[in-house]
Amino acid sequence: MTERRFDPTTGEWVTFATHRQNRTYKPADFCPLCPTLPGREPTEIPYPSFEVVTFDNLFPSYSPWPPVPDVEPTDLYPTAPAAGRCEVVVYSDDHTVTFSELDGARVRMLVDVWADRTAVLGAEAAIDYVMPFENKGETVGTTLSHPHGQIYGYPEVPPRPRRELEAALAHHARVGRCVHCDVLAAELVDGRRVVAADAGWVAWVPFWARFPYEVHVAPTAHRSALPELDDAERDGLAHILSVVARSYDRLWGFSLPYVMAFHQQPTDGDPGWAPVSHLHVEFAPPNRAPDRLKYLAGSELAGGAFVTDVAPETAAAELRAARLALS
Amino acid sequence: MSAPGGGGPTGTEAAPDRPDPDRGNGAGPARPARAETVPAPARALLRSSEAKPDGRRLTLYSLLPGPDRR
Repeated sequence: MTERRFDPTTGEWVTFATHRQNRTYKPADFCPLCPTLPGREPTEIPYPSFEVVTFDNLFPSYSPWPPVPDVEPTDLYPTAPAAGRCEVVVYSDDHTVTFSELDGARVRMLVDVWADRTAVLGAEAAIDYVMPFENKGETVGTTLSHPHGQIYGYPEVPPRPRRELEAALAHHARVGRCVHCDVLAAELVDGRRVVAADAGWVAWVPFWARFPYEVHVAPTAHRSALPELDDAERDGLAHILSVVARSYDRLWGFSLPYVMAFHQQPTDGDPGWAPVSHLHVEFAPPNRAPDRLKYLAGSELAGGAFVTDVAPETAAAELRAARLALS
Repeated sequence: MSAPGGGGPTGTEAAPDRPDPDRGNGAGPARPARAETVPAPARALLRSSEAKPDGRRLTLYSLLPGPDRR
């Protein structure tokens, strides 16, 4: 079953992709994201070496050719095909590295790839929102250890970016400015939550951080989506993403798991989003201490009300120290 | 929250059809491999898309042409 069902009690769609139950799960002696070597079992990538590769996920949640929903829709329960696209982005043909260990040129190349995929997927009629992301580490559900991320082309703006955009619309209506532009200006003046600021980009622990060591990255200039970035801005993004990832690893001396995701302008063709869409990257590590995780439990899952264990100013100071200790 | 299908800030209900530069209009089999230069500012990022045997799209990116890969 692959279909979308509408929840009339919350106004949100839920996607069912039951075939994903059978997706590749932590294979012990075969990596489908490694290069295909002569005489060896073919992988997803039929070349003996490569730099960066993207391909349609074998087990997609959204597809350009979605089946008709299994169940008949009703007025109360609308259904829709799970139209869209799910791509895998393989960062390197080296199985052993992580994003934080990629050299600067490769991270810079990834910025170009993310921008290009945003343009390619965003041009598809069925896709209204493009979100590149990376789930790093088994703690956040990664099933393949080869360095890779994913890109989802959603058939609508997903709930969390939509709530951000609605808040940004309200802020813009009230004061006539982009809320992220105002946040960045305030953070740079205050400084206590800033982890790094360089070349027109800022990495900071949000005033409202939901996860103890959450970090957001955004350009100080208003840019609504990855394809808008010029060459220097892409250089700056690559550099600061690498700094944040390496600072995380330095923080407690191990490769910190996280979810990293890009939020950007919807691709639904509505120009009204541009003034309120401010490109940003959100890092959400699950750890609240080296040996303790922040679980989403009663208040967070049932109530949607996050309770955070570390003050953002404290987390930022620790991450700044880790950044300064980078060799 | 908007009704199923959603709407944007100016009330757009549905995006107009847009061509898919890699696959036509998002349906049918993928095109054969081809290489093209992506207009990344001041850089020559080479993109080469092809169809896997099951029809899924695979795209190779490189900064320098790799003649033994295609």
